[in-house]
Formats: sequence, C-alpha cells, structure tokens
Amino acid sequence: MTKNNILSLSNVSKSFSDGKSVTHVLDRVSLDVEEGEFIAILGFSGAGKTTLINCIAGLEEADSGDVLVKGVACDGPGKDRGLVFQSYSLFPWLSVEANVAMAVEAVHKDKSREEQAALIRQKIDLVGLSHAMDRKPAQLSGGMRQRVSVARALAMEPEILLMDEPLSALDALTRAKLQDEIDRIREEENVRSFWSPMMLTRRCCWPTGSRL
Amino acid sequence: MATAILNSIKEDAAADAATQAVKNDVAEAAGASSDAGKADKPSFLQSKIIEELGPQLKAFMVPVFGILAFLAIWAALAPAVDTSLGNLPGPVEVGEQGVALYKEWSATQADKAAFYEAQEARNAAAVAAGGQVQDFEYAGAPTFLDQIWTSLKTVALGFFLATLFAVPIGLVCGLSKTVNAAINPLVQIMKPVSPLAWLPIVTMVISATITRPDPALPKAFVISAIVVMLCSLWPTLINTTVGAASIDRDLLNVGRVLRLGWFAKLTRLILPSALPYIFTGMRLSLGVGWMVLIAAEMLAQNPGLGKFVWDEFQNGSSQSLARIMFAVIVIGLIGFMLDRIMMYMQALVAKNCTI
Repeated sequence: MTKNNILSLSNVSKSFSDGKSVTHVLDRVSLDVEEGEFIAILGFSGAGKTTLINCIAGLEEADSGDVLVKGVACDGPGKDRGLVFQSYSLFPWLSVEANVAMAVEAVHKDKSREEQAALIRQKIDLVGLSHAMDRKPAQLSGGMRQRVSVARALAMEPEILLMDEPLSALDALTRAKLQDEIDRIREEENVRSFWSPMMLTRRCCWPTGSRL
Repeated sequence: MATAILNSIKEDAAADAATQAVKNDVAEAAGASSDAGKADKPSFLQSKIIEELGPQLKAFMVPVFGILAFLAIWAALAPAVDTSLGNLPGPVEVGEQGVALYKEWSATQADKAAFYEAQEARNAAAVAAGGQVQDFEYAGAPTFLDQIWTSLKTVALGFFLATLFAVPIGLVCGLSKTVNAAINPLVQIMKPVSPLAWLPIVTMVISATITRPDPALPKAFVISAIVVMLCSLWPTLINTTVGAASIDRDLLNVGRVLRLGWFAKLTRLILPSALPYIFTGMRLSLGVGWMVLIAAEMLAQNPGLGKFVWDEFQNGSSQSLARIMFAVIVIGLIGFMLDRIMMYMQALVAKNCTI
C-alpha cells in the first residue's frame, strides 16, 4: 500500500444469511485507488456492486478484510465519502433547494449562513437545476431527480464520490446526457476520486464469475 | 337544524325549477329565432346545456333523492311505532323540536343578558350607597347549543391528550422492534375495551385526584375527556407505529451518510415521512373519540350532548323522543364535519409526502 492511496480494500468479504442458506456476495475483494482516479465497477445485477459501495460508504460492515480510507480503517459513514443512491432517495416533502440544504447543514455546520446558501446555489447551478430550485421531487423528471441526488452528494464536498448506478433508471438519451454532465462536473469539481458502477472509464474492474 | 336542511332541500328544488325555466327560456328563444314548427324539438343550445349540466346535476340530485326517500320512509313508518311516550316522531316533529331548541337558546341568551344587566345596575347602586358589590354567575340550565359547545370542548381535550401520548409512543414503537414487541400485546388488549369499562376506574381516580372544591376544570369534564383519550388513543398509536416502521430504508441511509444526530433524524426524516400515517390515525381517533364521548357524557353526567340525551330520556315528556332524535342528527352531522376536517388535513399532508 503506497501512501497516496486514498482508498484501499484488502480481502474484503461480505455474506448475507437468511437463516437457512448463506450467500457470499463479496469474496476477498482487494483494490487500491489513487487520488484522482475514476473507477468503474461492472457486473451483472446481483454481482455485489451495491454491497461493495455500501461497504466503502460505511453503511454496511465487511465480515472480514479492511477498508482503509486515507490509510485509516473505515468506521461507519463519514463526510469524506459522498454517496449518490441508486434510487435517488430524495426527500419527497422537501424542495430541490431544501434537499441539498439538508446535506449542507448537516455536513458544513461550521460555515456561516451565507456560505451555506452560496454552496447550495453553486451545487444546484452545477447540475443545471437553478430554474427548479423550489420544485418538489415529484415535479421533476427522472434525470432531474438524479441530478439533484448528485448535487446533494457534491454539496457534502466529499473527497470520494461514490455513485451507485446513477444512470440505471434512465433512458439511453438522458443517460448519455447525464454521463457527459458528470464528466464535466468531475473536471470542475475538486473531487479526488470517483466511483461509479456501470460506467465505462479509464480503469475497469470486472468481477470473475458471478460475484465480486 | 332539520328545518335548515328542509329549507336547503326546498331551495334545491327551487334551483332545479329555475334551471328548468332557463332551459325553457332558451328553447323559446331558439324557437322564436327559427321556424315556429321546430319549437318543440330540442335546440342545439338546449341539448348542450343538458350535456354540460347533466353529470353535475346527477351527482347532486342522487344524494338529495336518497335523503328525501329516507325522510319519506321515516315519515311513513314512524307513526306505526308505539311507545309509552306516544308514537315515534317523524321528520316534521323533529324539525319543530330543532326550532324549539333554538328558541330556548335565544330566550336563555336574552334572560342571561337581562340578569347581568340587573346585577350591574344593582352593583352600581350598591357602590353609590357605599355597600358591598355582589357578583353572581348566571345559573340557568345549559341549553342545547351550550351542550354542543361543551361536547366539542371535551372531545378536543380528549383528542389532544390522545395525540400527545400516542404519537411519541408510536414513534418509539416504530423505531424499536423491542419496544414494539413489549407494547404491542398491551395495545391489542386495550384497544377493544369499551368506554363504559374505563369510566368507573377513571371516575374513581379523578375523584381522588381533584379534591379542591372549585377546580379549574370540572371533574365530570376531565373524566369524559380522559375516557375519550383512553379509547381514541389506539388508532393513532398503531398508525404512527406503522408509519415510523415503514420509512424508506434508503432515506434512513441518506440520514446515516449525512451523519444526522438522533434529533435531526427524528424531526427532519422520520416525522415528515410518518406524517401521512399519523394523520390517518388521527382521523380514525377523532371518529372513535366522538362516538365514545356521547356514552361517556351520559354516564359521567358531564354537561354535553350525551347528558342532553340522557336528561331527555329521563324527562319523558311528549317531545322527548323528537328532541333525542334531533340530537342524534346533530351528533351525526358534527361527526361528519369533524371527519371532513381531518380528511382535508390528511390530504394536505399526504400531498407533500409522495413522489
């Protein structure tokens, strides 16, 4: 493990049990990610992509093996790792602005009101939704909801952005558009590492067999 | 109240007649402008009006017809039922008693005003003479409208207390499977208990608790309100539990990624997402509370609609049955109104909570 590895997994295993049978989802996954890398994880559905992302995000604990973030063992979710959820997971009772504001207020507690407001504005502008600030998620299209979800994750100003199939629920045209947009955001934003299952990029991890 | 309904029905009938008249006018106008021979054929404009107004008129007329049919059957069958207080009153007698009750109320209001005016004059005279001022409360019997007001206050207090207890307990039950497992059997056993079973216990406890001769809240009022609370607690509790337990796992994960504290998680995540369930429960609770209230008031002798019904039953005059029936209609209308208010609030809340 070199020092500039922002994330490193070693022999991470995870299995789920329903009492009768045990399903091994992750079997000794090892991976080193350097700063600035953009990694995609490919796999069939049920291969364990989401489980891996959840382990890195700290939502699930690996049965064995280590998840090191900047050399420190991962202990639950942290504000250095932003996560874009597969199913958008926006708060339906909050407007676009309030959805992003919730992340800003939770993560950047030390910033002043003005700084927080500026940050919210900037992230919403970034995903091109400044015209829809006051709308509720129900009034947005699928692609727009996904962009709000991206804006919310970016508003945490994370060092690692984890995206769990951010484009899977979209049609081909919207997907291509949003993919370009994510590329653009990646260049504009100083996020050190991108993780995105199901996106073709410089480095791909292809699981062997049916599981990771 | 019944006369008001009858009047509104009459108005409806008048409105229908007016619509018909408009149609005739239109037809005449159309006929005048075209050949005289075509006058009896429905004109384009007329059929257009029927087309436009038809569904609305039907949606309005069918319930009116239902009510009229019910009143007709009631009027026809009631005289056939013989009781010790004479025949069962029909809709007209009940309507008359409604008017009589209103007149009683206005008479009492006038009486009350006169009483206070006389008292003030007496006191002014006493002050002028350097004597003692004496203030008495008007001690006339409560009228029907006063009873309605008392009932509404009682149910409001009971419902407020029920919500105050049910929502927090429901939230805890929904969030913790252990707590839910501990409380659920109790809830299931308490839920079907009739208000009449609670009443003696509550009466004893409250009588022992409120011992001051002149308490801020009358004992009977507190007893009724607490019985209402004990019976209307459960729908809100169960629905809140379901609401808090069925919150989207992904939303909870968002909360974890953002590292929300427990209070932020509760107020910004769990409460808003459980709100539609909570309001559904509250609507059911209010319905139960209103039903229970009448029984509680009858037995606790708390002023209110229940006591009015009981007093009339004990009174046993020839108007008593008509008065009780009028009270039944009013109880139904108020229950319907409360339900509509809650339904409106429920819809308002649900609108904001779905994608």
